[in-house]
Amino acid sequence: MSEVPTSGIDLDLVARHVDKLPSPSAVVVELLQRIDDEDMSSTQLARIIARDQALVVRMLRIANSPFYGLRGRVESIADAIAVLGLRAVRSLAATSAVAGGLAGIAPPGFDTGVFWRHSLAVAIASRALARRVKASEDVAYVAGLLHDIGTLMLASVFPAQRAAVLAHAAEHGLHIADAEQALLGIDHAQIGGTLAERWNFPSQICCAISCHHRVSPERGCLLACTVHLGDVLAHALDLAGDPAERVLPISPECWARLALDRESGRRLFADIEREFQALSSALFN
Amino acid sequence: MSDELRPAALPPVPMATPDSDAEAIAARVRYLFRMVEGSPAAAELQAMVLAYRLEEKGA
Repeated sequence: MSEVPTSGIDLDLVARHVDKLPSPSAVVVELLQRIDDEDMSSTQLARIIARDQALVVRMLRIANSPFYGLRGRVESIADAIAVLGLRAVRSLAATSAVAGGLAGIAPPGFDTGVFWRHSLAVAIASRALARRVKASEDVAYVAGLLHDIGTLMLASVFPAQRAAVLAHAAEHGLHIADAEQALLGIDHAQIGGTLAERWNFPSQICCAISCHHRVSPERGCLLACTVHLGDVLAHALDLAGDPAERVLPISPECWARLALDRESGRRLFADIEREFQALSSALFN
Repeated sequence: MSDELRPAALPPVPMATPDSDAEAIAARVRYLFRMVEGSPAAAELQAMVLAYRLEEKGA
């Protein structure tokens, strides 16, 4: 394995250090690749999930949490699909799969609680936004959940660079992605996109992760716009429990496309908060 | 993220709680948007979030 340098980072270097994070299992990759497959039957989904017993256990624990109001009634993946529906189980599988792998990473000095609460908030907000613009809710949810995996890699594999970025951002009053670009020549979104590509995640999810801080609807990655706005809303609604929370710069083009008025905003915010409170209780308690 | 630092000159404003009054809620919302001042999109969103929070509070 190559040495980790202490200065700048490029995408080749990121690719060479992918193996320093736990790779998702083949079952997880297949689930994510088929997250938007409307032709996948309940039986096919249950068979895929059943190949990973740890995933089955995590899913049943969440399915039996108060969030779903079914405590103790879901005893198998087939039960979960019958009771919750195929779409809910696909999202649940993605959440469980991510929670089971990447959530075990805890770099020193890194607040993983804030990180995962924020990731869940962005997943839920992105799904709510996708519902509003009639895009794929499941894909938006997964892309939102994984949007900051580059930050996790930076904190785990490049801690010296990350510490320098944080100091630079604090000293100059910069947003973190801008400080990363200034010091490293790359930001956590690009790092996360590279990671997702190496893990064979679907291309639109890789694109959304890679572009969520520098998004333009004209560039053809509309999912990135959804995740970008999901990220903005998660910060604006103060969901992660971070005392130093701050809203990110908003893409004017993405914001205009959303065409949110005060009443629809109120309903959207309430939906996001309600779902976040319930699901975060199921996942983090 | 908690470690995504902002300028030290801006001390954190406490998060709003169910007991927070309208002034404390408004102060926290202003704090959340401190790094996007001057953006029309951010100003619109800030107004929506503040209205939502105050309506939630019944203020």
